[in-house]
Amino acid sequence: MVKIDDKLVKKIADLAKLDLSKEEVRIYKEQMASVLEYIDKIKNVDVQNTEYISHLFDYEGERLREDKSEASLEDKNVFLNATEGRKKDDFFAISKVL
Amino acid sequence: MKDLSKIRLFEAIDLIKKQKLKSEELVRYHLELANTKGKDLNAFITVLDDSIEKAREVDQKIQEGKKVGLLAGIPCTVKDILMTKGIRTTAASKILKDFIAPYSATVVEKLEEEGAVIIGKTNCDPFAYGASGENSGFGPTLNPIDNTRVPGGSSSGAAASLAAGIGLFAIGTDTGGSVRQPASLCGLVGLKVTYGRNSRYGLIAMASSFDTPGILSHTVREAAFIEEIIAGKDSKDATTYDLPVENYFKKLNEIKNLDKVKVGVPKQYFEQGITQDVKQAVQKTITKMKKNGAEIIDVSLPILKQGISVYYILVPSEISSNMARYDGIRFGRKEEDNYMQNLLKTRSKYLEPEVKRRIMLGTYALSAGYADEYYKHASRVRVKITREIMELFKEVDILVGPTSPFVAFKLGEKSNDPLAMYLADVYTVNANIAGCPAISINCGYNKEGLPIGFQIMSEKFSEAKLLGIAANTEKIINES
Repeated sequence: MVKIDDKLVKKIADLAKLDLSKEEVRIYKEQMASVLEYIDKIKNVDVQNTEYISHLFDYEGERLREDKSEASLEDKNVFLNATEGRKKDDFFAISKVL
Repeated sequence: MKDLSKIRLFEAIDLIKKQKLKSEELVRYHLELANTKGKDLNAFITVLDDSIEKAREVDQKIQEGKKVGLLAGIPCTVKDILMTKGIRTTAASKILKDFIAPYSATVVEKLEEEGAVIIGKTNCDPFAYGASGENSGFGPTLNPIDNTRVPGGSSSGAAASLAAGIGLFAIGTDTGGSVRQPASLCGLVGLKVTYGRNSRYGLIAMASSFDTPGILSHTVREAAFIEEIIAGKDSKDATTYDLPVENYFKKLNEIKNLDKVKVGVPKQYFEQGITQDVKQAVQKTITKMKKNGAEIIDVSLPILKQGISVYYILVPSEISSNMARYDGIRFGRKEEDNYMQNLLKTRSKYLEPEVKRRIMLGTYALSAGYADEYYKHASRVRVKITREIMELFKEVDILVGPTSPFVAFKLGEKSNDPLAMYLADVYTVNANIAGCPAISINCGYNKEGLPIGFQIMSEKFSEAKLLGIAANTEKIINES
């Protein structure tokens, strides 16, 4: 049985940069426990003779295109959705972090 | 005067080319339907009224005797998770509610190059997370066959609109069944091809090693015709394969019947969870295939049962990484001046509950102390499932079974129980886990008149064979 408590839910939310309400913490705690209980069965599958592959569909042969420059998005399209205060010169502007 | 509601894809193509029907007339009819019936079903996030201009351009070209594309003047719809240049693209999430796509998805470009007229962007679960359409930030879509029921998901609006006669085909995306399952619940054909056959460029990422653009149509022939247009290597998506696109449509005629087709029936598909009406309809179809010369082979693949677990570990993991890009920096309203506060508030305020749930599950599965136990272990089980399925395809041509364990369910029935909702994908996820092509075709209706889907899966890059067998199966289902 998977133990999911408030502390763990809050830790995960912090890693995921989600600010959860008390109610959300309660709901996700229950729902994560129920989903994890189901998927935990997978731990019984023997994979001793199966290797870990991060991307299943890699195959032999050349996949990368030739390294030559191609047309890319124009500046106006890059900044198409930059609302008031989000753009400064040719950059996205963010508030001071440090 | 032609009854425009009866005109399907191939007839429309023919009539428009022969100048017996104006694309403008056809597109206007479909737009009106999108704005009335489509609104009632909440099938659209954006209806593109201006698309009538594109229809006029096609008519003009034809009138002038200029060359036009294979889909000249044909009205269709595109799921709102695929980018359409200059047009609002929301992924059905409030976080993108005013986002204008700066470029088009490759599959969208290919359709437009052939003259297709996109009349609307269809509703779906947010970022395609869901099996009912109910998670959408723009409200649930209703099933046109019974408005108290869901149309399936995540391509909910694609299926609902097409089943309601709006548009002549629909483009959706399938990460774990999101094209096939709604097709099943709405009585349509749903095609998911081999991973890497259709470009993902411009598809707002859900789970990058699973996502596949797909087609919803009325017949297998239509799906084959559209697939031939949208398939192929794309330099903008490094995971597409540099293999020639076969002439799927022409090749349909090469498979004339089901004679000697080896049909694998995994017994695991008929154990717990499946409802009686679905089981009966699927078994009846298998019997018909046998009567028509197919060789039915009972197979057992216990590992298929692990599909849901693998899926709901790996997919949320990829989701949690992909969703990190929603950082409140490049678009949308600024919520706070402080960088971190703005980041937290933007994500927390605008991401839908199911989106947060999957980010939470994925972050958990990837976090220190759990990554080996969940993510890495599930990745190895994925390899194992894939290898076992590949082994099976040495003995059989196709694997068949139900698409969904149940018919369209009531709105709200499963919305408070994520696990019950996740289990809706039990038969569809394995094709995405192994990267295989699979198709859902309608195989009948239950007593209440609700459609039941029949799924056929085959080995990677065998779309021509899959479509040929599916077309023949469709024919024998319709004959009786």
